[in-house]
Amino acid sequence: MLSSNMTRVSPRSIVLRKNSPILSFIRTKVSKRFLNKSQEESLPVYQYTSGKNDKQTKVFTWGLAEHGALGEREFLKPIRQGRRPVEYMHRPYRLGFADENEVTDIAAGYGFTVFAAKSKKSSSQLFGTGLNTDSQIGYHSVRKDHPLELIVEPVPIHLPHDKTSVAGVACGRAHTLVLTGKSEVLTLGHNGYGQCGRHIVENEDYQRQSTVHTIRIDEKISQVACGQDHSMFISDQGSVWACGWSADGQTGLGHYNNTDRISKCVGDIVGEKVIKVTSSADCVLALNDKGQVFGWGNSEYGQLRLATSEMQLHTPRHLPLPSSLGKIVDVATTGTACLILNDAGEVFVWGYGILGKGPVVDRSQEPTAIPLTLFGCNEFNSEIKVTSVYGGLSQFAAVTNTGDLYIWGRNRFGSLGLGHLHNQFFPIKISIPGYVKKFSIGVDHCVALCKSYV
Amino acid sequence: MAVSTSVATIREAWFQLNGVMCIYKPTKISWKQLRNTLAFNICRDINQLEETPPRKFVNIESITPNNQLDGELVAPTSYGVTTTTNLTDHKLVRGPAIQLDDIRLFHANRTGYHTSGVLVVGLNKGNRYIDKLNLSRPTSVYQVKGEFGIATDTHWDDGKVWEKATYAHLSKSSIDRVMASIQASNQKSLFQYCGVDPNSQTAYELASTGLLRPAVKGPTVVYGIKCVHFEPPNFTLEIHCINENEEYFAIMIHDLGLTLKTTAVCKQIRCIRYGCFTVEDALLRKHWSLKYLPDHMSLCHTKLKTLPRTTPQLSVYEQPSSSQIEKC
Repeated sequence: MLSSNMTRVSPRSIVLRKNSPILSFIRTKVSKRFLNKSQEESLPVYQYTSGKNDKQTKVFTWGLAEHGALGEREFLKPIRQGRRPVEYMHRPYRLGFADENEVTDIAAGYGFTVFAAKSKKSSSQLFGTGLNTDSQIGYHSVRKDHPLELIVEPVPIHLPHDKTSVAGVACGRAHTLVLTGKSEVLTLGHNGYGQCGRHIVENEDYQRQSTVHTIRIDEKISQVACGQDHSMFISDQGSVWACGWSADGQTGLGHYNNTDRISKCVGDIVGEKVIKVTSSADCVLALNDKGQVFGWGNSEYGQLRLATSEMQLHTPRHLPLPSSLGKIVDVATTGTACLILNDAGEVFVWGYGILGKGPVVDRSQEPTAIPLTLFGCNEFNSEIKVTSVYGGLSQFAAVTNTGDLYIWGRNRFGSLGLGHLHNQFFPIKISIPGYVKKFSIGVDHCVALCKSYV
Repeated sequence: MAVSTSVATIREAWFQLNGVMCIYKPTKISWKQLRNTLAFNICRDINQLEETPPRKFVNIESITPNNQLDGELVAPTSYGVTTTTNLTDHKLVRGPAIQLDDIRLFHANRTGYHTSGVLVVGLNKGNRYIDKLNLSRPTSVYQVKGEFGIATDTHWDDGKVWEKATYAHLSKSSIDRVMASIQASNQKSLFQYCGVDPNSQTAYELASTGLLRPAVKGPTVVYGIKCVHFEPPNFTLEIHCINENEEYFAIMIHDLGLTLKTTAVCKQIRCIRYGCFTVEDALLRKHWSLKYLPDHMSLCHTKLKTLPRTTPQLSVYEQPSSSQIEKC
């Protein structure tokens, strides 16, 4: 029991006495936090978030920088004296443009990139950067009749109606499709094969024209997709429409002639509700709501061997996949191979080239599984599933349910973003700080749309 | 190996003191302190046991005749044998029977000053098992506690506070996303540490087997990481890793805070598993005495026997034959 008149010595008073022999002893024992208690209380509390529960959108680009498709002005026109232009960026580079504008959709073409973004400064919702030799990202000129061939940073693309809302974009070799909020499609760029869906004009100068063509069909268009020089459209009813180059039958219209009028595809997909159609060059895969896969176009590397032994297919055919694969939920193609994803999150590949099964296996006629361990599935993390797959001209990519991006294929100008220029023969994770929402692969560059963690 | 505790003499006890121990290390104790404490306890207890009687000192003296000339060698006529106490064996001459230097202790997993939890220690001849255990590159499991909202100079919660930040925006799911990202990045780097050409078939075969054990001691690799407890500002991570150290965890917690747009410090690091030794096996400080150690070491020995013979994967990896390649 302490008596009330007993004096108690607090440890603090001992500590704070200067030059005390006890002080040096206690310093070794008492934590620095305790010694600096008063200073800690006086510190301000910082807040690094806006407080609202909205996650920031980030865009990362990598690959060849010389054509300006990475969207960073510094790469081509360095402001600092003595700094050389950057040839290529072989690791993901965070785009400053996306920090100022809320990017909703991205598409990478052959040397150019198109962003659908909600901008505070500009009324336009569509931005483009990179090669502009065919006005694929609009008509931009500094002087009259001298349009810019190369644009080094994202600029607004002016559409006929100023307040056009953009629902989706797709890019081909030299043309751009823009899906508007009114379910119309606006087309820009090269129309040599009718891929813009307007009348082919002989010897048309695509660089000096600012035509934006509007495509309307009876049904509402809900999705757009581009091959190399052809365009594909899916209506809300699930029917597929196409126009453009058809030397390998990639328009799926039942003939090998180029078409400059948008027409409905024939064959097995008639009457099916198609939910996705994809092509990166001239082989096309389509997916319906029942999880069945259809294919048409080029089959030189056995991409459509399941349906035909011919080299080309002008009529869409159902690909009879083994029933053990289950329901297919996503498809992707490169120029020489096909990739499908089933509802169990497993990935199957066939065709020719870098398939993702090591350097020895470079061709496969049947769909073969890529081990899920390569996507980070192991005893510590058994719930990893692949949720979406993407294809470029010679690269594949897959996004897992944890938002990680895995990539493999040919590494032209560092377009795999792995920090080196060597080809990658199996899926490997790309270091991106954020979880990937959408990904697009051009011919030698890549664009990833990510959300920040917090 | 240690078998029984019913020993009476120092000699019997000494032969039992070979083996591997799994010690529960308290926090804020260095390995040197812990080793001295253990050795001191063992010495103290063993020297209280019954000493073996000192060896006899047998002195044989030759008896030669008295009428001997200088320099002349004459065979002794007889020998006298006397037996006395050997003074070098006397306790007052040589000190205690077992001394601190006699006890060789070595650790299998180097846990730092702040870390508590499982520490595997080899005693005398048990040190050879430590080498075998470490050669299989066992993974450690840690529970790391942290606190959001402050940043200190040492990244520990007892350092000088440099900054304070809000943490109300955090949720379990946001932490989980960062955890998944850390884990995936580490698994990628793990593959790079294997030292094979990434363009080769060997690289693909290795990568598709899943997790690898690096053949040499190298940088820290996190195999698995998850948030097991989240109650802002406090949180606990469970980390499966290899080649770790204390600074790595402290910096990781600090970086985690920055990624989540706040600040964080490390509060506690607890090793709950090293290879086959779990925290349930670990011997508490009150049991670090001769009464418990021999039984404990025999338990650890049976655990080591059940350990599968794992070696670093690269050293046993062979080039795939052509028939294997055709199969895939």
